[in-house]
Amino acid sequence: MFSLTKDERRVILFLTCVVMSGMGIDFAAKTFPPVKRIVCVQAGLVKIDINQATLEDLLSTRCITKKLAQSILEYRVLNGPFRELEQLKEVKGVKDKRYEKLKEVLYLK
Amino acid sequence: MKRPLVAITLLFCAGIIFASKVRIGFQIFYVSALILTLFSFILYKKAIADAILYLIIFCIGSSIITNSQILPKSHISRFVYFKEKDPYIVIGNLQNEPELNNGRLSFIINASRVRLGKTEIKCRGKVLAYLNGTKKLHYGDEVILTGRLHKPFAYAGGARTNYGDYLRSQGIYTIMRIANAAHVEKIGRNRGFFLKRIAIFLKTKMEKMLFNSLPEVTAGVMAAMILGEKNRVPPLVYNLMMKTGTVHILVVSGFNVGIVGFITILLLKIMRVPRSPRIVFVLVLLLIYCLMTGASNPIVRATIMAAVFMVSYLLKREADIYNSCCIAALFILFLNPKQLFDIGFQLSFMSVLAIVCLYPVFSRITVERFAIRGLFKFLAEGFLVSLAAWFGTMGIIAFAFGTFSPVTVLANIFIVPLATLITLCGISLVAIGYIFPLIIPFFASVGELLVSVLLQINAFMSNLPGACFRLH
Repeated sequence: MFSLTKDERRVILFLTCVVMSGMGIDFAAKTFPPVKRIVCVQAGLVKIDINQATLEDLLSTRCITKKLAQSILEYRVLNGPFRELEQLKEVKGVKDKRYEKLKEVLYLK
Repeated sequence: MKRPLVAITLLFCAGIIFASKVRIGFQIFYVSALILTLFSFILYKKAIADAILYLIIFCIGSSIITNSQILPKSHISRFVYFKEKDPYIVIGNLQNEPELNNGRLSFIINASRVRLGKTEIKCRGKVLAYLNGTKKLHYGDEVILTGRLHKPFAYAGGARTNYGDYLRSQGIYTIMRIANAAHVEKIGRNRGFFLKRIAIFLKTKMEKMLFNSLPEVTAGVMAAMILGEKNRVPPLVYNLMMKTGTVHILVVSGFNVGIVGFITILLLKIMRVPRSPRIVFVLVLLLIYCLMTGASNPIVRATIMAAVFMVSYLLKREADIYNSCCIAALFILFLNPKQLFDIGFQLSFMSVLAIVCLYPVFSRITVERFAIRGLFKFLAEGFLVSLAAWFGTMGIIAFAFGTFSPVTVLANIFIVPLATLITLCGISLVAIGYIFPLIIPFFASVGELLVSVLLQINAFMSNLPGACFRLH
């Protein structure tokens, strides 16, 4: 009555492993900040650093045209590195709507 | 012959390629096939009968593609006039769930009637519609659209395959631009295939659960891996995966079909469901999963191959991977012969055939020869599968995308097992989450960690010297 088949054992083992791992990860992420940095996806993995981006990097996103990318790089050359992301609004061609889209693909390290 | 389907498929494909290169009409190929069929009856018992049958297959392949290029007289593209200023009114049913991108809704309709001025004509054919704005529309809705109709343009710069060619290969010869939602009127619902409606409903629910339980990036990657929704994967992630040659994990393919099939069979075995109903249930579920994920070439191939294997198991016959691959290819090409020139079709079949042909050879000269065991054997086998797939696809990738990624084999050793765990975790989350919502946070934590590790490994691999070369 209490003996499990091979398949039942597999499924129960998988579920218990996931639940135990999940609890452990959750606890570690809340208690140790370095663990949180590993567990959570960092901005650098999914967005481009506005101060390190090349023309190719900017064009590889879906929402930056060549003209806009050149304007961003030109702004960086003339005014130095960006100190905050809001400075993007000072770039030619970036209004509020465009800025909201750029925030999804660019970040400031 | 043990594998007659291989010869049949190769000749069928040769017929398609031949007809696409020469300017010979459908009638010639069709009449040739008819004459050869007559000869095959007359010379049925002769040795030459087999050769005649193969020639018939060749002619059928040529006939099918030439016939597919002939549009019926009532096709909607025949009513699109250059420089027509008056708007067209098109009535039809939605063929897919609309997609919203940059404030513009796009969807495909199967047109049934078109109106220009006071003239209304019955027509047929797919129309790709772009609407500025949004509107609540779903698959199967019957709609009246008012806007400009035109034929697809080619991209400037002359790409190897332009957008117009791509749309035509999907059966779309007309595009409609609609100014705003006021020009879209819904007049009916639920006109589509009922299984597809169920699939879309399930997909929407699963996507909602993923995005409610996980951070956006993690949910976006999982949605791509499990549901085929690539739109929410960050562009940087996608580009890095292209660079390392691991972007295939973001495409729903045979790998996912295998996992879904495996999990379902396992659960049904635990529930003591008898063999025949179990297999039938799995087949129906795989069909729904195929429809849910967009029925792309890799998924259709994998679903048909899985179906062939399961039916063979049910009938207690031996399944053959080459024959099942050929059945899948013939199924796809009969429906749309132009898919033979689609990169997704080519990569999907080449990778499977490369693994099937090359992996045993590699295994014999390494793992078996040196009697490798245990964990090293597991790692070696993973490496050899990646190597076989890489050999099979590097030519096509270099030609189509102009990239050569030596790091692919190394990256796949780490990323494919991680992708397996992420897929298992994601499917478990959406399946069990509805029954036991309290365990969602645990699955979410594990999923988040796995995705984070995957992206970090991928970023590391892409920065290795010599990871990827641009050829042109």
